[in-house]
Amino acid sequence: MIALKTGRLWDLLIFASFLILILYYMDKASKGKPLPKIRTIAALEAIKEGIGRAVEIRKPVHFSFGAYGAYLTGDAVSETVAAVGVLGYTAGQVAKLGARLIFHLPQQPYAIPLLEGAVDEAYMKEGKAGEWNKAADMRFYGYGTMVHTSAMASSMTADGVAMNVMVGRQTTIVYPAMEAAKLQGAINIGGTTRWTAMYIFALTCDYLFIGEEIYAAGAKVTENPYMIASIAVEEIMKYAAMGVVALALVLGLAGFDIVSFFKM
Amino acid sequence: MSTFFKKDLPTLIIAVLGFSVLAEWFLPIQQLTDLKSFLSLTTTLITYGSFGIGTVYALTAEYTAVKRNRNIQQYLISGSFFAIIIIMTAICVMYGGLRAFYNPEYRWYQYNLYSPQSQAMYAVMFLFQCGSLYRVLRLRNMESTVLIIAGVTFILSQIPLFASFVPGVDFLGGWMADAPSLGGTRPANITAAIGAIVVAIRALIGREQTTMETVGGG
Repeated sequence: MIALKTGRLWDLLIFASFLILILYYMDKASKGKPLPKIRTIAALEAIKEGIGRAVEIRKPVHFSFGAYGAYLTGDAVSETVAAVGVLGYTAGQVAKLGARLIFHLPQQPYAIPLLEGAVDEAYMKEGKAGEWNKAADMRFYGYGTMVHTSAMASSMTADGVAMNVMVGRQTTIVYPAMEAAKLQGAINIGGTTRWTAMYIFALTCDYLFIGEEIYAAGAKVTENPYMIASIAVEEIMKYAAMGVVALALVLGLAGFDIVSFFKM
Repeated sequence: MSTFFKKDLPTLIIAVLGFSVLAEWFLPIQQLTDLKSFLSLTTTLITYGSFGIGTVYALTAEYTAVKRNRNIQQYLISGSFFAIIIIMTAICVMYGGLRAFYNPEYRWYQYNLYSPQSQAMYAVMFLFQCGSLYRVLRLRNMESTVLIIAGVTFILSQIPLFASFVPGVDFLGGWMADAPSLGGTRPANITAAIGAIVVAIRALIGREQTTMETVGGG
């Protein structure tokens, strides 16, 4: 019999709980049973309004993952995947309403086919395949956050900006780009789950994806019942986490070595 | 292309490899560790190989920008200059490998051209942040008032001279960072982690629709 690695028991239990709950809720979705509703996410609604504004004032919509924002390896993949959902939604609305989308690619070129595909598919869904002017409006700036930020700010000055959407694994250095958008009178919408960069978005954004809202937004825009079903698991696990924190606090105060317990 | 090759087969590959890498986290099996190392190496190779795609896109975008600009004098000067640097770097790398990045010429470029511009952007960022803080910190309601008092107190606690005049303010600043601020940060991290796990599991079991083609024959 193969034993578990030391200190991984709780990891396994938590992962198994997630997996079982997700499969359970997806099974419910497949049987057409009622699913929990995701509340309206203000930032998503604002994207639609912002694109309408872009059409009215004839200025483009800018979208960026930030310089580092499209990791497809490591612990940031999930955020990239969720942000791709927001990209697809934005591109779809842009195509539908006939606005112009300028997409500032992140510094990870390996993500380009995925990101390009997301925009292409969004245009295709709206019956406007091939109408996105990629040669001019899909921009890659190479490696470096400063380069990306400077280029974005320059582009906003040169091309104008009605709305700037920035989601994904962002860093604080995207700030000048967001400020440039604000100075141009644009609506700023964005968010990241990196807590060290959240304050930047709180300072500059008119509408903010707060932390995990990005993951929920990714599911909400697809309107796929299986993805929405899995959001219910997020809620359950959040309450479970709160319970564990409260329990750990009480047990810790009572003198139990709670840290060692969770290191089993 | 059939749905099997476009959707089902990639999903199957992701599920098998993904769950294998996950199993390596839990089980001390050498074969799984070897598989994980192999996949990590493959990922690195694909990552570096894909910089070629990026170069093509960067050149295409630049070419389009140059084409639409009638006055190309600026490109003749700056473009020629940077083209020379890029060609020189390429030659250095060809003859000296990655050690070329440690040679004095490359370092001169790094420290005298690239770094000052980066630092200038950083400086601009902090200047802008002060402006933003001024915009944000307004007495509008109870919450914003508390935010202003907390923010100003924390800023003052970071000034050594002020802390020497007002005893206890540095302690208060430290407490604000370590207790209420940290208390707000950790739930944000925990919930983000929960969201990330859910997305990851959706991807592993092939239910993550955002990264799948749903039109065009998929």
